[in-house]
Order: sequence, then C-alpha cells, then structure tokens
Amino acid sequence: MSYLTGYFAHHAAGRTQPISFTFLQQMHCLPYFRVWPERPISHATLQQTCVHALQQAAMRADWQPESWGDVPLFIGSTGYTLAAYERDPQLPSCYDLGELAKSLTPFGQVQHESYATSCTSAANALLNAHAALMSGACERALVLGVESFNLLSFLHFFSLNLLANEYRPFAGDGFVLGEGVAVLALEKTPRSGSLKLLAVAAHTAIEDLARTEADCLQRVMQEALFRAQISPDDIAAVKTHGVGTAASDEAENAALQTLFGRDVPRLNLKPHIGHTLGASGALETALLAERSVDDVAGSLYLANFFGFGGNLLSMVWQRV
Amino acid sequence: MKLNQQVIWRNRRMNHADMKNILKQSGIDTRRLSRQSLIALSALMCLPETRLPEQTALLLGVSFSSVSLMRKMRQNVAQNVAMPLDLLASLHNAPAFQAAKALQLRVAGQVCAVWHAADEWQTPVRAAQRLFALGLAERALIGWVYESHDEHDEYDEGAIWLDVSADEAAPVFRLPETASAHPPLTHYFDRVEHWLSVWQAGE
Repeated sequence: MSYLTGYFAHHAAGRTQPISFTFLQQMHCLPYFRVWPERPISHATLQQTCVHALQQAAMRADWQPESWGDVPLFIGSTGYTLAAYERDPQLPSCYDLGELAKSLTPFGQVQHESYATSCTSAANALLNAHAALMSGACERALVLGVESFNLLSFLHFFSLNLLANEYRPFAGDGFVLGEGVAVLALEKTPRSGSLKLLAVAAHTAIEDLARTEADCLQRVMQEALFRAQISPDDIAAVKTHGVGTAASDEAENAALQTLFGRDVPRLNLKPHIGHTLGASGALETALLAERSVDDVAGSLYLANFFGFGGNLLSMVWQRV
Repeated sequence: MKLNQQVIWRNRRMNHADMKNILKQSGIDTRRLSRQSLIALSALMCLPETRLPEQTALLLGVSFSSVSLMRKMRQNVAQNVAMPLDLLASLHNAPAFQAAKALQLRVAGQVCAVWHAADEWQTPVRAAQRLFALGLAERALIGWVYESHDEHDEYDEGAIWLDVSADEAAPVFRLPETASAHPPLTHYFDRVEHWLSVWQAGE
C-alpha cells in the first residue's frame, strides 16, 4: 500500500481580496487567483514555489534532506510553463513539456515523470507514484501538482462558455478557475495518522472528448470499490469531482445515486480553491487529508478525478 | 512483457489533407483534429491488427501538445481572440483520446512528457509496466508521437506504436539503466527503435 505521510498545499483558500481584470470590455472576477502576486508568473517564480513545496512536504514526512534526491518525482499539470511563455514572448526555445521537471534539479531528483491528461494530470501522477511503490520500484515517491493563471486557458474556457462567477457544485452551471501547488509525500511504511491509498481505478470514456455519461462514471467508481474489496456502505464520504458545469455534475450525481443508493456525504472541494485543472489531483488529495484528519481511524473515502479526454480515475483512501 | 505488433511511422512529411483522406477511409471523423492527433492516428491505423480488447490501456509520450495549433492559439490570444474548439483539439491528451476512440479502448489512458535527451522516452514503457503490475490492464498500446516545429526542425515527425501484453512467461526485458547505455542517438524515436532492436534480438 501507499501511505500519504506528508503534504504541502499552497492555494487560494483563506486568502485576501479577489482580483479583477477587464477583458472584452467586461470585468472578470478571479477570486481564486491569489496564490502568486504576479500574473502570469515567471518561470523562476514557478520553479521556486515548486521547490519550496517539495521541501515542505518532504520535511513534514520527516524525510532526511540527504535522501530527497533519490525519491522519484511524478508531476501533473495542464499549463506547465505556459504562463512563462505568455510573460516572455521569446519563449519557448523548445517545446518541451518536461521543461518544468528539469528545472527542479535544485531539489536533486534523478527520476522525474511529467503527466498531462487535462484535469486528471496530477491524479495520473499519483496513480504512477502509487504503482511505483506497489511494484517495489521505490520506497518513497513525491507527487507535484501545479497550475497557475494563463490567459490562453482563461480565454478559451470563457469562449466555451464554461466559466461562472460563483462556485456552486451540483447547483450551478460553470466553474471558476483556480491556481495553486501541492506536493504529496508517499511511502510504503505505515504511519499513524496518515492516509492509506487502498485502490485506484482508471478508465477512458470514449464517447465524447468533453462530456462523460453517468454509467461510465459509475463503472470507474465501482471498480475502485471492488479493487479495495469494500462495499459502497463502507464509504464515509466521497471527494467529488464536482466541477460545477451542469451536465458534468448531473452525470456524477446520477452515478453516485445509483452506486450508493443513499445521500453519501460529499466533500465538494472546488469552492474552496477553484478548479485547479491539472493540479487538482494533488491539491484536492491534500485537502482531503486535511479535512479528514480528525475522523476515526479506519474511515474510508472515495475520491473522484475526471477530466477532458474521457480520463476518469477513482481512488479509495483510508484514515490510518 | 510481450510484443504483439508494432508500427514505426516517421518522416512521411504528409500534409493535413492527405492524412485526413486516409483516415476517413478508416471511418475516422477527422474534423477539428490537430496535426499531432492526425499523425498519431495515421500511424495507429497502420498497425497490422487494430481490433484490440477494449481493456487495452494506452500510454502516449509526447514532447508537447500540437505545436502548430499552440502557435495559432497564442497568436489569437495576443489579439484577444479565442476559438472555442481549438482548446479541445490542443489538449495534451487529445491524441490519446482520439486513438482510444478509434480503437474503442476503455481503460487507463495516460500522456506523459518525453524529450530527445536522456531516458525520458522510457516513461510510457514504465507507465505500462506499472499498470500491468497493479492489474489495471493486461494489454497496452505504448506510443510516441512527434510533430515537427517547422520546416527547419532537425527531428523528423511521426509516431511509433507498440502493442504489448503483460506476459509473465515472456522474457523479461529490462530498460537501459542510464543514457550512457545508448549509442549517440538524438531523436527519441531512435532510442525507441534501438531498444526495440535489442529486445527483438533477445527474444
């Protein structure tokens, strides 16, 4: 099994005033873009923030600094260094998706992998970290999820009419973009108070690039429960994907109702930090760990991560 | 891991229209596909056998999203213009989705970064091995795709697809441990092809 023994998350929750900007003669409110003072952020700022987050998570897991360089790093993001490209029109010198990973060498990682599967990027990074631990390829692993404001994403989500002014999962129609960075420190050794990753299921819904039907969502959740050898009744709460768009939420709601047959408690985390796209797998797992810290040992959680490209992941976690 | 079939499709220099015409003959809807997706699909449809179990995973290594589409989007954004469907076509995982859709594959699909240097080409192979180890799939399509940046790009575009199975009886093939184990190769396609030749010589 994999145990989440340390984490660090830097996001908008609990921060100060929202930020607004004018685009196409309209005022747009960006309530969750409060993590970095500059917009778009520079490559140096992105790098420094990620290295800081890695150090903090490793320290919280009580890992000795001399061991950090040996720990494989699994990264998930959608924008990666896109913000830096917008800041400096001369960039990129080469179109290398792994550029961020290579720039984190101050942290000393010899092995790094970068995943880009839209909003499930960090969730897939987490799946690979878990699988690397389970296969015995390593004793420890780090997962980094990061997303920062970039105009290209904002404008295109705006043009797709997917954005809302207020976050209301399962009750509204649209999402509010967010930014942040989170690092998860995972290891094979059990530790009291940690979260244990019991099982993961990963599916692809091939009917539509941008929309997934309820039965596909139900199947991936069902497989995660099956792999964890538990029943829906055992689950204390579901960390929903709860993206906010009506069609997506309706499908997830229907899948949850069919699978659980009851109003299972839901952790809808996006209203706290915004939709952090490819980083959400790491940020929302860190929030799940934070919010379940006082729950009794043995409590079980189902965590959903869905994304464009029909990418669906469900994970079962247990409080140790 | 057992190699069932493979396709190496590189340096074809095909334009959009030609690729679309060929793909249409295979029944693929080519509307709104990026050049990178067209390349990935054009190679995929050259596999000798395209009827695979729907529980086949798909792992794709890319250097970036579609470079030509990304350039166009950045130019549009500079003028405060956004074409809604460009975002969907430009997703890093759009080629993987289109490939899974074309072959009706329904389990894990992952896209990871690869570059010409070092050992990054190995990432999709490692990801496939992990899915096998976790029992999330017993068969996988492992792919690498590259879209040229411009006509002066020293790296030729194309795609490689391997159809592999988790076969415990097959000889264990180990990935090279360090970059120095390779001859001086430049393109990640070269590294994959070199690995394939060593693998097949050992089988």
